[in-house]
Amino acid sequence: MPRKFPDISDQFKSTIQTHSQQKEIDTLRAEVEELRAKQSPDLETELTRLREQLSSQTGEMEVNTDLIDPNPSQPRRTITDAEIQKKVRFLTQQGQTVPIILIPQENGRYLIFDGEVRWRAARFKLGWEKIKAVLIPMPEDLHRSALETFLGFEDLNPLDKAEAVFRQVKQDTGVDPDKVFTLLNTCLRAMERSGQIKELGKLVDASSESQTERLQSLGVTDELVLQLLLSILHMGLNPASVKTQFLPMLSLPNDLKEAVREKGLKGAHALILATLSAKVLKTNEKAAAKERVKATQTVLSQDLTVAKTRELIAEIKAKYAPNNAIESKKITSLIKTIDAIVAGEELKSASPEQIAELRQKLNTALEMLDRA
Amino acid sequence: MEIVETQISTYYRSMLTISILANAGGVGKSTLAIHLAYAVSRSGFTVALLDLDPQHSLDRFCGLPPAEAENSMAQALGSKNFKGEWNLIPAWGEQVLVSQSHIDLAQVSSDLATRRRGSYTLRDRLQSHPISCDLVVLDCPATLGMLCENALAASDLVLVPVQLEPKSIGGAADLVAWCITASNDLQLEPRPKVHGIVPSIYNKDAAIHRQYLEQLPQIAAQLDIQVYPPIRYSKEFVNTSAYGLPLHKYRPGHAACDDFEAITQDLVTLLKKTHAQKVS
Repeated sequence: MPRKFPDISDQFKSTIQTHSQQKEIDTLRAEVEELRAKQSPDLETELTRLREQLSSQTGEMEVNTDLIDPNPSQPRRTITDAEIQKKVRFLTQQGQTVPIILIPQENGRYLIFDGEVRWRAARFKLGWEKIKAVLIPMPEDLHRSALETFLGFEDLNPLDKAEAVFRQVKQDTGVDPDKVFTLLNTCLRAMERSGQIKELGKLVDASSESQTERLQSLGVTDELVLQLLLSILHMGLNPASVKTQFLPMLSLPNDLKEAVREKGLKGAHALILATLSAKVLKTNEKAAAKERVKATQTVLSQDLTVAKTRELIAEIKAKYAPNNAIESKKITSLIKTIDAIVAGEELKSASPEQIAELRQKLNTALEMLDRA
Repeated sequence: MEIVETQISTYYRSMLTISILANAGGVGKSTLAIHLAYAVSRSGFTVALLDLDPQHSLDRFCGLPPAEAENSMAQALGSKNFKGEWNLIPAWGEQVLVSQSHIDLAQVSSDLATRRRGSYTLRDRLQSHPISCDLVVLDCPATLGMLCENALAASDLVLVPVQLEPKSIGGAADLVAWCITASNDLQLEPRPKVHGIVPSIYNKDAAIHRQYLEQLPQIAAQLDIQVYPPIRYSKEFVNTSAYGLPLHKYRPGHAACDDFEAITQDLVTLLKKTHAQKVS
């Protein structure tokens, strides 16, 4: 018979008591709130609200800053303190020159459609109780509308922009970003082969109907790929640049993402810096991250151009080069093999199955190269 | 590229913050913190791990050299002119970012006592300068003081690791009561919820561990707290800490790795729910 130790419930007695008291208080509090909500609102405040609402129909109105909520579909994910401070200075010197745009909600509060930085500066830094605003009805597709307002702005950082774009693509087509990569890659490569890739760029400004038609004539038969390309074109973007500029932003390592968001590192620079990966440098993640952070610092502090950044990165890679030389022999011999096959007679006499398999292998390899 | 999708649907506003609190030392707070951070990050979320313990033991668990005071939480909480310097360093090559502690945090803790909104410093700073991540895990000191108040005020949830022995059990009871009274004093609305008790360093061969494990669920139910499956005792936890790695990396497939599964799944579900709510 094993020994029995003193029960632990004694140790919890007073805690359980505290807990049940608190639960009771919470229940009562909730009931009070409910009662208060049921009572009719004060007539005088209701009238004031109505008056303000009426005058607002002719234009600007003043809205209590604490009745305003940020828009959860805001494509701009990062608002840095520096931006807010800049706005604070502006608002202090000039006052509010342009009203912010708000969407009235059913609960009596407002959602920001445009002007989150001004609102934050006004409410949290300057302590303004009111802010000038104009009201618009809720757009049918809040995210797309906000996105379109923002895509044109240069102050949206490239990472936020990329994330916003792929959120829209996901919403339109249900396709995840990694799948987008594969789909886009395959269809863009096909267009490159047929020499029609330039046609794709021209579609950005075309009307929706003709976009569909012309995509089909470019050989896009897959419905999902069609939807994907249309979604991108509807945002006024060229699918080819989405692939080269936006997609790679998403897989940036965290240190670079942070530098883009917080320190204003430009997209092109970030993509170059990202090549300082553990894989390329043949080292561990930590060492690679360290090199990247150091290089990022240099790029930012010296405000390096894209070309200068490339030079810097080449120098760093050169430091690690001795390790690379071993691997590159394999690649050299592979290149020779490919040359021999292309020049020789093998391709003509090989079976169609074998050719198909080769094509598939090479495609996969190309994809891997793109990702590396 | 699996992380990408969650990155996209994430807003800083949907950041979930969770405190690992225990009113006793050596009960496995840091072990729980790093393994949760690691496991949740493997599910595709970005996790920030903030060390609030002036003993800065998280350094060792994460395999990082000690940080300078000005690159640590001592700076992040102590500076009067905070501009978002969370001093995050990636750990283990995963989506885990660590803000290290420093012995100076002890001094900062007593300075905070006289500062305006001292108990809300961490909360205010996380709000004005959010970390772009999905989950923030706060590894707290063993003593319930200013730093734990800061953690509580900043948290949505609290996890309580407890060793199934009298000292630690007694500490856990006091801790749960403290969470209620401190939340009231600080007027936290909504109150951070004690989400779960995690029995740790569990030895199934110890009769007292088995007995307490059996009694705990009934007591926890009266407190509306769930009890997670225990994290077993294993010497490998000590060994892996010498390498600054989570067990999953040091001994992949070790049976104790699975002990974190239930909490991880729970947190992942919560994170997905939080995203869905706040994004829609």
